[in-house]
Amino acid sequence: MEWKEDVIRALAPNASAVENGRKLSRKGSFFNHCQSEQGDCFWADCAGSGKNPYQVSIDLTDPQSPVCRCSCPSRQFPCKHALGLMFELEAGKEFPVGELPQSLADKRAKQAAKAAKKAAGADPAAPAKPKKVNAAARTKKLKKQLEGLDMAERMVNDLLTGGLGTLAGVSAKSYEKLAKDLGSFYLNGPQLSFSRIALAVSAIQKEPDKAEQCYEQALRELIALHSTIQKGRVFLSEKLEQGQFSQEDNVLFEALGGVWKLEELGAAGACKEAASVVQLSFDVSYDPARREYIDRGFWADLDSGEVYQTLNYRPVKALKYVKEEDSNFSVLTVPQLYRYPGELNRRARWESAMPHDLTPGHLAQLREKAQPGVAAAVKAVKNQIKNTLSPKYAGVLIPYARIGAVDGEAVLEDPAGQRIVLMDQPEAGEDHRCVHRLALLPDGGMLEDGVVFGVMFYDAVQRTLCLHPYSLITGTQIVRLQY
Amino acid sequence: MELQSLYELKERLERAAVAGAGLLDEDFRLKRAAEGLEPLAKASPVFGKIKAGAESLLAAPREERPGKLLALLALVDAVAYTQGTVGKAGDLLPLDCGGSGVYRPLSRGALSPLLTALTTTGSGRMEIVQSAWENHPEYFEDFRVLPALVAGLGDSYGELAALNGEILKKLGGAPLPLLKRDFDPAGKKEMARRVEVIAAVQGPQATPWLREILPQAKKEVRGAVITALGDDQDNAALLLELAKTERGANRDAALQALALQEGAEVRSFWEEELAKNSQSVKFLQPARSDWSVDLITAGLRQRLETLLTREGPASLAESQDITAWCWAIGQKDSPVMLDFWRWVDEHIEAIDRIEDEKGRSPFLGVRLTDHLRDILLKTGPGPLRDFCQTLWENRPAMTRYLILSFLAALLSRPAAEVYDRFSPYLLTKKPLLDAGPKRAIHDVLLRAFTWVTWRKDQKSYWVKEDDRPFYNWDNVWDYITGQPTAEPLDPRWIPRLIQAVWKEIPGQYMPFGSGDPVGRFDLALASLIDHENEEMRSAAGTYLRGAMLSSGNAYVYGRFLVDLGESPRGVLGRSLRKKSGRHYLYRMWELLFAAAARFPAQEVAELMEEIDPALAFRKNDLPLAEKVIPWTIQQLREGKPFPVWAEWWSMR
Repeated sequence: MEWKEDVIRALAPNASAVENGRKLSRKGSFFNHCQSEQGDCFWADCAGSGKNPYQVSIDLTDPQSPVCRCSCPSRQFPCKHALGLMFELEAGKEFPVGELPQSLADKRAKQAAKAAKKAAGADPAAPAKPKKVNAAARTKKLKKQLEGLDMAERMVNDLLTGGLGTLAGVSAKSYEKLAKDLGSFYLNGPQLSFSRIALAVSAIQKEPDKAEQCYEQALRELIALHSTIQKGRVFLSEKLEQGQFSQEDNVLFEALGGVWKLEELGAAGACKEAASVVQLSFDVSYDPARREYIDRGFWADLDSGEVYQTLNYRPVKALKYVKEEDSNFSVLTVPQLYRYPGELNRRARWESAMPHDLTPGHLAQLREKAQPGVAAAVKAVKNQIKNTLSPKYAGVLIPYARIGAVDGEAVLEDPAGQRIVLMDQPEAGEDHRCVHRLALLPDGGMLEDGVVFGVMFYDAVQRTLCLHPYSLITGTQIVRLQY
Repeated sequence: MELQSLYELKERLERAAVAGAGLLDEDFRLKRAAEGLEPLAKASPVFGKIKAGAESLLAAPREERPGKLLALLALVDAVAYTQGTVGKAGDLLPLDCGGSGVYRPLSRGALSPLLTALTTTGSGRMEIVQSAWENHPEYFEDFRVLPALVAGLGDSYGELAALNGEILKKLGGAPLPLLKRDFDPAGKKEMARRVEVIAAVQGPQATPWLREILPQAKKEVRGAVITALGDDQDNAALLLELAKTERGANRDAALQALALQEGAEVRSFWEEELAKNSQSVKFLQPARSDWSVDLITAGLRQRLETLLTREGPASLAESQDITAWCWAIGQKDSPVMLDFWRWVDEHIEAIDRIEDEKGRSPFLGVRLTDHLRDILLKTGPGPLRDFCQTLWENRPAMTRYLILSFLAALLSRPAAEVYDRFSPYLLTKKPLLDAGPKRAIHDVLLRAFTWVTWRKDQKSYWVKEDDRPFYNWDNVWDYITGQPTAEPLDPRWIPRLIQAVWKEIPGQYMPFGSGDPVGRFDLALASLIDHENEEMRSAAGTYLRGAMLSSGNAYVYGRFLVDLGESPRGVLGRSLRKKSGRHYLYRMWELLFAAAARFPAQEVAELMEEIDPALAFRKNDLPLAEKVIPWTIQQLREGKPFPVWAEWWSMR
């Protein structure tokens, strides 16, 4: 395995851990460097603040997923000591061959045994053992959820009867408290919607000049919530009547607050074997209602052209302990790619992937999979956004003949001469601004005959569909306007 | 299709949601909006459905209204989305691409901290930018970083703004389009910094742009523009005009720029200016032109002559004026300058006798000699160097000339000749006669050696531009400048220096940043040793061992010896005992670690055996020292490498 800074960054939980690891390596905190005879395990001692040094190791039994171990109490994974050891490897420090410490040998043996057991158990020919379903518990839960939906509907009705304008200050807080109760009814989705409504309305007090936007936002949330309640009631009642408790390929499950497990997605037939994906853009945003940071990556499936998104939620409370995702510039071969229900940009997850270099061949493949033009992309997006429960935006690949300006506004023109305005999506926030970077591109040629990846959305002010560009796919590279 | 009535209905419904569904009965505007949908309803069933929904909402009982309102809004929204327009008519003009920088596939983890540091406020940003520049200068060429870096010239933290400016200068031409884009000539410090960067990168080629923005330039920007115009000789006429029209700081900027210009007009301007305002001479300090030399030498000479010919002391104003003129000499070197120095030499005793109103010497002679020495050390071979060589010979009573003559000789004469000529003045025995004057010459010669050093990176002797104390760290020559001697120093100097009867050079110094300070003589001696010259090393080794023993400064002298390749074995233990209980264990580790890199493990083990922790280290370090010293000796005997400090520390 070649240790480069990019590789270390990809393994690190966050950027500051990388810097802390680099500092440890630079100041010479590591000693007793050793490696196994096979060169698949490296270890060293690292001086810390305690009396005894930390024992740090990197196990490369599976080079694709290095196992980092450290005796420090940090809950970050890998910790700064393990990252520091990676920097020692990057710096080409000498690791003499040594005898594997017993504790490390024991852990490796345990891990090997576990892997062997897993491999033995995973007989593809053997029929999958059906999971036992506790029907009584599921029935109880469904009934509770239906009860919760009634409560949510009453809350919506009360709110609408009095008017959104009455939801301010104290009443917003009491609504938030009421919304919290929905958690007891297994309705985290509606609960989140109420929090968003309360937050939007509370924001008016801080920025009165943005009142119109805030009410607009709260109202769109209410509309979606109302729809969730109506459709959710039908969905849950049917399930209850039919005694059918397994998950289905339906967005309502998540809208009500359900959380998919990979095996459930697999059972619902939402798993694609041997997928090849390439990341189109990456960004991070903060969701104050969830109190979580969301690492979002848009990926294109090189075979189907479908655009997926990966979402990694990092709660503020556990920010230090949850690995922060980062941009990826390779083509990933994913043995099993799980897709969530949805329309465009279905959420995707995978457990392991093999990276390969992105070649011009891949880029050509990617460009071929773009929408035929602006019209086709607009049609697909309109079909999604008119659905109340669907996101009001979608990431699309659109070919362009040129990108220029009309009356000072950036505009994309496809090979057929159809145009779309390029505009930053206001909801995405200041730090997602990309349009201004088009005029900063190092080469004006990048604005001709390429494919743009962007998020299409409806701009209510101009009553028009716009595209927030995130990256340009040229014949030789994917030029990211953000990350 | 004209959809205005749909949007009107949408707006009324949204307002109803904010005002409350309870007030729908009184909302005549909503009713009117629903009625206005009639033509559309006839044209398409979906609008008919909307109209029906609106009527149903208005007719619904109070408790059903919220649900109906939201359902109707959902439908209206869906129709609005599907009816959303796309595109924009008009001429599609190319975007004005800056063409700045390059695209690099940088991850968010790499890019985000840097962009945040450049675009936000708060502490800790300087380190991030500095560290990124040291580790990944290529990040700064990225087209996403460059604009942030340019905007960072206006950072409220001045040091960071200055760092951004330096980085931009080192990036060369890539940031130029961005620096010029959206440039505001009436802007603040940020824009002035842009001008400085552009001028530094483009030099005289920046003139057309500078001239273009000059009319609109205000305040700080104007000053920066005028200063930058000085880089181009073709701007003399403009600068002469500006010197007449500008006021305050901007006029100073014009003078600063004019100091670098050539031509008869410029010269006559300065003649007039200096006649009117003598203190303006300070702007001529960086000038190297013939006219500036003429003016300064003539002006300075005339002022000195006035004082020499006049009876009575120099006034405070006169002293300050002459000081400013002396300072303006800068690094000027020309035949005229040489004539001036000859004149100064002829009158040096008289200049030394000048007194101020309080009867004190303003040290004009000393200042002038120091300037001459600085010019000598900053310029190459030539008549000035030859002149300096003869100075002391011609006027041996002027002891401060000895430094000039000695250094000039080292720079131009064979080493043996220099030794033969000057070594007799370095006394190895106390003189019986004229001890005072002889010691004065001896001390000056000793001090002259503080300008000389052996450069281990170049393996040659150099004369530094100044006598700041320093030791041969690996990167010290990044900060210190000088020029090589004509030949390697005569090795006979070392024993002679060691045998010198007086070894006092004022000042003390800690060459390794810690430990006890050492005298400047010892520092100078350690810096003079050619590490590859066995004779020198051996002589210096003996001397430094003795100093180590007598001073008890085991760390610093030990490091000197190790650097020379001489082991401190035999004296280390005794030196430590000289200052018993006062040594830091970490310093000892540093010394031994350095020794381990130079000598075999056996030698280091024997060296360590001399250390008696109980008689060496501070009380706090003693428990650890008692563990690590014997343990390390054992490790070395077993052929293991000398431990890093962390290993020692972990044993506490």
